[in-house]
This record gives sequence, C-alpha cells and structure tokens, in this order.
Amino acid sequence: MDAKNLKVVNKPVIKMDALGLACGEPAFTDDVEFKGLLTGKILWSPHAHARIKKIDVSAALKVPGVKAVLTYKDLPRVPHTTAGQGYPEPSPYDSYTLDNKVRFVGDRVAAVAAETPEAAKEALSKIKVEYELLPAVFDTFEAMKDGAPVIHDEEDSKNIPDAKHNIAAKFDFEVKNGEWFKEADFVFEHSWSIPYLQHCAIEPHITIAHFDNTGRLVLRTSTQVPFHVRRIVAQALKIPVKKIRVVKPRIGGGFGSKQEVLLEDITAALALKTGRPVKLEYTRKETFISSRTRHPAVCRMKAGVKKDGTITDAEMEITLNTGAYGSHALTVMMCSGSHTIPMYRVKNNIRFIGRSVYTNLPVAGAYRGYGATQGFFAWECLMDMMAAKIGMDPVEFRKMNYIKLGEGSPVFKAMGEGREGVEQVITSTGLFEAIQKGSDEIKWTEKKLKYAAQSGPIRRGVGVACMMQGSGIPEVDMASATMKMNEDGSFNLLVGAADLGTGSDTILAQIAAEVLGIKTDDIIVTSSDTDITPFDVGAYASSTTFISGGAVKKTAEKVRDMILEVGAKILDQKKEDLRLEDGKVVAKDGASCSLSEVANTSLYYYNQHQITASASHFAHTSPPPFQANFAEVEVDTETGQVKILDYVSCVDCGTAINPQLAEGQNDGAVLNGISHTLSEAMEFSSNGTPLNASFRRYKIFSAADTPPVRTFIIPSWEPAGPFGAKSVSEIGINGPLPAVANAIYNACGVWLFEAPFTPDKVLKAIQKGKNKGL
Amino acid sequence: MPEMIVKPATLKELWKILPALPPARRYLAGGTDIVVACNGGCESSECWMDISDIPELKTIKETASSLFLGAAVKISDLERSAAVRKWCPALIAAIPYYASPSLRNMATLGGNAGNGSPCADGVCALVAEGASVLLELKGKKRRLPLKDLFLGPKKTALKKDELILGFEVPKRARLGAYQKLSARPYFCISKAAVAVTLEISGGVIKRAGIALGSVAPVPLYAAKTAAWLAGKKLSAVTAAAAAGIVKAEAAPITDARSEADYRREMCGVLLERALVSLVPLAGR
Repeated sequence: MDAKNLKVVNKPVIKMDALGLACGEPAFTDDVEFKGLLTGKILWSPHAHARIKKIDVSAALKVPGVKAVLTYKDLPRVPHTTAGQGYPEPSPYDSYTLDNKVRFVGDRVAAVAAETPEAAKEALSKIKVEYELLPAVFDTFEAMKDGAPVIHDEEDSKNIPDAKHNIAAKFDFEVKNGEWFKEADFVFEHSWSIPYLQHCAIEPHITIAHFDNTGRLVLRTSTQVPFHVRRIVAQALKIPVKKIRVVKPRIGGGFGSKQEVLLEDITAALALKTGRPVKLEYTRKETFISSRTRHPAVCRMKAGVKKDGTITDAEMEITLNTGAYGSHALTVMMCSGSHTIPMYRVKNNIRFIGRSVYTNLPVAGAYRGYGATQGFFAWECLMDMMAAKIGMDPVEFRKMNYIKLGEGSPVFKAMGEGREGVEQVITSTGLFEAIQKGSDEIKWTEKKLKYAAQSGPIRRGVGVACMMQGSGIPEVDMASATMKMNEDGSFNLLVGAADLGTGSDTILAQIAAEVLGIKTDDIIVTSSDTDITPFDVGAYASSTTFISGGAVKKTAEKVRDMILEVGAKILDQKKEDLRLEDGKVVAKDGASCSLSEVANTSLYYYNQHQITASASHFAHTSPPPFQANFAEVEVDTETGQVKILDYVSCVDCGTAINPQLAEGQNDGAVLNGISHTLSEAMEFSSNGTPLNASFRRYKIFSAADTPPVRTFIIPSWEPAGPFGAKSVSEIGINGPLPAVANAIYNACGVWLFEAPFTPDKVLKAIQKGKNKGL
Repeated sequence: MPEMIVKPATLKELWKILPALPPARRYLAGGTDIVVACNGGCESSECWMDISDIPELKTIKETASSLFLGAAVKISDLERSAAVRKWCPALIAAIPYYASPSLRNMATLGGNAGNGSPCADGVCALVAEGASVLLELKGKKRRLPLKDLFLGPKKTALKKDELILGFEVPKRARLGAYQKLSARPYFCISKAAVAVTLEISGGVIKRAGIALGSVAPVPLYAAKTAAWLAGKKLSAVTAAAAAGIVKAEAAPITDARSEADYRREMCGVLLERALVSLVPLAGR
C-alpha cells in the first residue's frame, strides 16, 4: 500500500488555526476576560530541604485586596502524582497540593489569591514561615547511599519502591543466552550524561479557574492532558469528577511539560476558597524552576562486538535524576531502554538496569524524547566506537544490525510503561531508504574520504545516528471521536485529542475528510473540552496521529456508512454500489446526490435521524517511526567551538498525514536537540538554587543561531496506522546529541560524554586526547 | 518603571532642569540595559533622563585629526556610516557580534560604556581604537582615555550626573579585527573577546591597540602586548608570540559563562587569529 491515491491525506493542507493565530485572534488561555478575576501567586521554598515548623498567614490576610491564603493546613492531604498519565498512573503518589515539607528550592509553600498582582505579591512577602532545615542531597549516587537524607519520609506516600534510598522507580531486566561477553572480540564500557534541561515553551503554564452558572468548576488551562487534569484535580481536592469541566484552548507549546497537572489543583483550590475566578500564570523564572524538566541522566553502557560486526551483548544502566518528586520517574526510565535497545540486534545477552532517584532539585517530568534521548546518546555513540574498533563504516555497521521488517525484540514484551509491554514485530520501516537518502544528501562517502586527511586547527567531520520511538503506548492509550453531519454537508468533529500547537486538529480533519470524500474546510473541529468531546488520554507518547487518528478514521467510516444508507434511498441504488467523492454520493452508473441532500433527507424528510457516530481506538502495538540523522560539523580545535555546517534528518513516519506539518515538527525537534547538544544546561549553586533561570542566562538556539536543518520524509506504510501513518513528533530530538558527538569524533578523534558540548568541554577533551597522543 | 522620565531637547535644557529632578536618577539612551534591568527588578531609580534625542549626542563628526561618535548614535547608524567604516575598523568588525539586529537599532555606544560591563563589544573595540571619551557635567567638560573610564565591573569614573557626550577616535590609517567566543553563535555575551587595531608601515607594526573583553573586571587595554607588538613585523610568528604575552595580561574569572583558565587560553587564540587575519591586508 502507499499514499499515492489519497486526496486529502498526505497533502500539505494549511493548518486550520494558522491564520487566526497569525492575526492575533484571542485563542490562548489568557485571551479571555473574566469579571472579578483574582490573581493567584505561590510562595516558593528558598530551601532545598526543610520542614515547615510554623507558618503564620495572619499578616498576609490583612493586606488589602487579599481574598485567600492557603497552606497545607487548609487542604485535604491526598498523596497523588502530578504526571498526567493513564489511570492508575505508574508514577509514585508522592505529591500533595500543599505539604508541611519542602523538597527543593522552588517547591510550593503557600498560595495566595488577591484582587491585584501587587496585593498578591505583598501578601506573599508577609507570610511568616519558620523552617527546620534538613540536610539536602543533589547527586543521584549520593542519594542512593545508606544514611542519605530521605526526601520522601512521609508515611502516606504510595508506590515508592525504596524511599529510604530515595529510589522513585527501579526496573531490572535480563535476557540471558550464555555467558556474558564470551563471544565478543571487543568490549566497550562508558557513561554518558545529560544535564537538567528545560522545555522552554513560549507560553508559560497558566490556568484560569472559574465557575459556570450551576456552580461547577471550569478549568481553562494550558494542558496536553485535559481528561487527566479533570481526574487528578478531582482526586487531589476530593471533589467529584462531575463537578469539574476542563477546557483546553489553543496552546503555545508544551513538549511534555504540560503533560502535568501543575497549576490546576492549586488554582482550583483558590477559586473554591474564594468563590471567585482565579488566574495563576507562571513567570519565566517560575517556569524554569518550578515546572518540569528533562530527567538528567547518567547512562552507562557496556557492549560487546565481534570482528564481523555482530553485536554480542548489550547492557544499559541508566540512573535518572527525578528531582524532588517522581513524576514520570518509572516510565521515562523504561522508555530509555525500551525505545533504544531494540534498535539493533543483540545476539546473546541483554541487560537493563534502571533507577530513578529523588534529589533536592527541580522536578523532572515528561519531555519530548522521553528517555529515548538519554538512551540513544549512549547507544548511538557506542555504535560508532564499536564500528571504529572493528574498522567498519558506521553507516554499514548500522545497516547490518538495525531491526528489520518482521523482526521483534524481547525488550518490547519485557519493558512496558508501568506494566508489561506487548510483543511486537516491525510492520513497517523505511530506515534503509532513510540511511541511503541521508548518506547521499550529506555526501557521506565523499566527505569521509576528504576529512580523513586534514591539517590545521579547523577540522571537519561527519557523523550519523539512527533512532526509533513509539507510536502511543500499546494497550494503555485510548482515544475517541464523535462526528455529526450538518445540513450543508459539513461535519462537526469532536475529539479529545489535545492540539498543543502541533496541528493535530488539522491532521485529524484530513483523516476524516479522506474517508468522507470531502475537503478539510467542511470539517469543524472541536478539541479537548471534557464536557463536550469524548475521552482521549491526551497529547503525549507520540500517540495523537496513530491513536487519535485511528479513532477519527473509525468514526468517519461509521458516518460514511450512515451516509451511504441514506444515499442509497435517495438514488434508489444498492449501498454497495455507492461511494463518497467530491462532496457527493456517487453510484457506479454515475448517478449522484450531494451530501447536503443526504443531510437534509436524514434531518427532515425520511426516517428522520441525525447522522452521527462515535468510535474509540486503542492499539496492541506501538509501531516505531525510524530516523537516520547525519551531521556535518566543524570543530575549532584551538577554541573547542563546534559549528554545525549541515544537518540532515530522514524520517520514516509511515504516511505523513500532512507532510508540511510533519516536516515542521521534525525541524523543531531537531533544533531542540541541537540546542541540547551545544548550549543548554540548567546550573545550580551548591545549595540547590538555580543560577540561570532565564533566557538571558539559559541559552536556547535562536533563529540566527540555527544551522541548516534539512528534513526529508521517507514514506513507508504502517498497516496498523490510519492511512499508513506512524508518529513523528518526538523522535527527531534524539538524533543531534549522538550524531554531533560522532561527527566531532570523525573531525578530531575525541569522544564527548557529557552534554552540552560547550567550547570549554570540547577543548578539554581535545587537549586530553593530545596528551594521549591522538 | 521610574515615576518620572524627562526628555530634555538640548544639553542646556538638561543642565537647567537637573537640580529639580529626584535624586535617584539615571540617564536613558537606547534603554537596552536599563529597561531590561528595570524589568528584572535590578533598577529602581525615581527618574530617567532620556538623552536619546539631544542633537550634540546624535552626531558623527569628522575633524582634521579625529572622528567624533556621539554617545546616543544607534549602533546600526554607526554600521552604516562611511566615516566609521573608514576610521574605526575594529568597531566595524565588532558590530556583527553586537547583540542582535533589533537591539543594534536601539543600543548606543554611550550606554554601552556607561553600563560599565567588561563584556561590552562596542566598548572593547573602541578601547582598541585608542578612543577618548568626552564627558560633561553642568557645562564642564573633560576628556579621558576610554580605557580609564572603567574602574571595575559596572563601576566607572563617571561622577554623579556626568554625561558621556561621545567618543573621539584618532584619524590614523589602521587595520582592525574583532574575535569573539560565546555559548551560541549569535546574540550572546562573550566568554572572551579580543579587539585589535594595527598601524602598519612597510609590513612593520608602528602602533598596536589591543583590548580584551570578558577576561578582566573591566574592558582591558592590553598595554604590554600592544607595546611589544610595536616595531615587529606582522607575521604568523609575531602573532603566535603575541598570543603568549596576552595570556599573561588577562585577568579572567570563572563565572556562569566560562572558566578562568579557558578564558585566559582563549585570549591567546583569539589574538593570534585576529593578527593573522590582518596579515594579508598589511601589504595594501
């Protein structure tokens, strides 16, 4: 199968909200005005680890305009997780809306609602807190030692595997086929590390809580997971689900940080306390410190290879820093192995050792790539080391070993997300073509040859990395959709899927339009309002195209069937002889009637009924998209500065439902990864205070810094996906770290193990290499 | 924001209204430092004196021996000026590294100097050009070598209310170069920067001006290295030797942007590169 005969799918349809957003139409959470809106603000902990001995809010309450001050004494104590995941969440229940203990600099202490931001700020300054300072721990390996400060010493938290050793999640797994490394000619072992990284979505976290005319709580919020927000807020504040409505407006980026119930609980608590609408919006500084980050990681990998290129054994031990709370602690850790180890065939033994560890630092959570970024940095660099040792071209070495069509991996079954995974084999792959295309575009062979003999301080090199991701979480993620037909032959499409700027409203409309033989203009999409749209787990795990798209396709097919039923009556033909085309029901003999005639007939004339249908979708597999990435770099061996000259990313995402949006997503993911590679890192003082919590000090690549990034979509056809589609949103972020590291090695013969590759670090590595005689 | 922003039309008017203004007051030129500082809660004057439209401060003027650059001239206007192109080669080389195009449309050299940052690209280049700074306080003028304006991080020799009128750059034919290292390619404060000017005759350096950015408490005039270069033939060998000398002259610290040892090392690399880049131009 291929996408050749498709009319709407696989076409660059214009993103349906693009014009409105470009013109500044009110669309985002904060674009709507509410009468009597209060400002919510949070008092943050100045200490990395402390118990609140006394908290006095009397002076704060006297500040004119202050309507409420909340501390842990005012709220039910409900252990829960802020991770917006399927229920029951696989993350430990270790968070409280407000607690009597603070666990990092930037943890919640108290919350205020006031008539003005100024009054709210003044009230914060008047809350008197007496802390009992506790010893803090910032390093994961220190935190796991006997006698380390116990960050979660409370008795009521749940599902923490080893609170005494600060272990928020752990998993060990082994496939054993004989003695470890017995067959290997060469064995390698190294550790790679990634620091604290921020999502940097342009829209900060924001929630407005207000009440409808029946007194129900409405949360208008910038979220990727509206249905999980409803459930978790109900749980944390002990109010019934039916009393809460969650509305997701347009979102200014999330990248995983909004797969989190971050502000909704406390904003709701303030609204409930005051009976007034309350807005809580993070500043950029708060976004850096008190939202979520990527899990910093140390990933040790040990692998064996034979001279002929067979990988004999592979062991991955990953230690993630989950910060003060274990949001996504288990699942990110699992994905660091489950999305990466199966990439290459390992002949004999496989082992995975995973630990997510609490420290008194900001809280890690979901972030595009979700563990695979950490894992592939190690795995893909190790691949190049092995290739170099056995004298094989890194591209050929990968071609020999990557997982092929029809092949599976024991890892798929063993490592799920919170429960056992599913057995699966690869049912679509364009990786071979992706590697070929990438090699051609970067001129791999030619440049390898050219760069083999260089002199002078400026050295160039090329590097490759391959990767995969998933398409949703198999047998966990579920999405649903509802469609109804209007008189003019247009349709309402109601989906729980959460478009966070990704364009999912558009691609879901394309899928429905393809089934119904119409244009996307004739589909009105409403997404993510828990009162109106059917359930969807939300936008995460690269699931929307694959899972939500599957639900929309099924729904549209049901609607098509109902339309044909009516069309058959109108045209007096057999239903089997009819099809939908260009907004009409068309018969084999050429007779036709318009969709508006069908709608009017069903609504007003004959066997009156609303043409409408709903369908749900979940999947038994998670077909991985594949990528081959190629980087060409220039290394200044005197300053350590690395410049990316060219970056080619070839993506197999099955059928790209909208190639332009898919390219855009991938360009963004790659640039995000490049920024991780060359400049981003959160820094902390010795007492755990963040030092660079602003765009002034934390450098993400701006438009002017962006090197040439070239995305090529390599079509394949995934039988389990809607019109052959797989996911595309996350995978691209995993490439730059290893591809650039490998290119640096090609340029100047040194390996980098610690992201980001700043000039200081690169120069040190080069000088170390020189001392060793490289 | 301050409670009051005044905008005198002339210098005369400024000195006239000054005594009546609230005591906590500062000058506002392009606003690219002061407004950001204010938004970040680090600036709490009661009054800003907007001098961005005072005619004397907005001119670029040539005299027989020097070029005057008004303190309130926008960086992008300097970039477009033929006279600046001719007489300020290091400054011209530095401008592409100066913040971003949009900030260059706002920012001024006067603000760049008055801010007193050791990282200021424009100031570093001007120090290498051998510029003087012209100051005025209530009609009383004085002149300082620009390098002497800076006393420490964010500390200058400016007296209270003393205003930077502009800079005088000697009109002597010279070559100039600017080299900068930062965390990302553009729009970034430097880890280290080097500005160089060379007056050359017959392949021999007659006079050199070298300034280092971000490697000392002030934009540092590398006097020893400059003196050593005088009389030497401009060549790769000279450049390498100068690199060794300049490393001893820098006084970098470790901070969020870089480590001291790395910065010191980079002064050498950047100077060598700046000098080598001028070798092919020396014969012309």
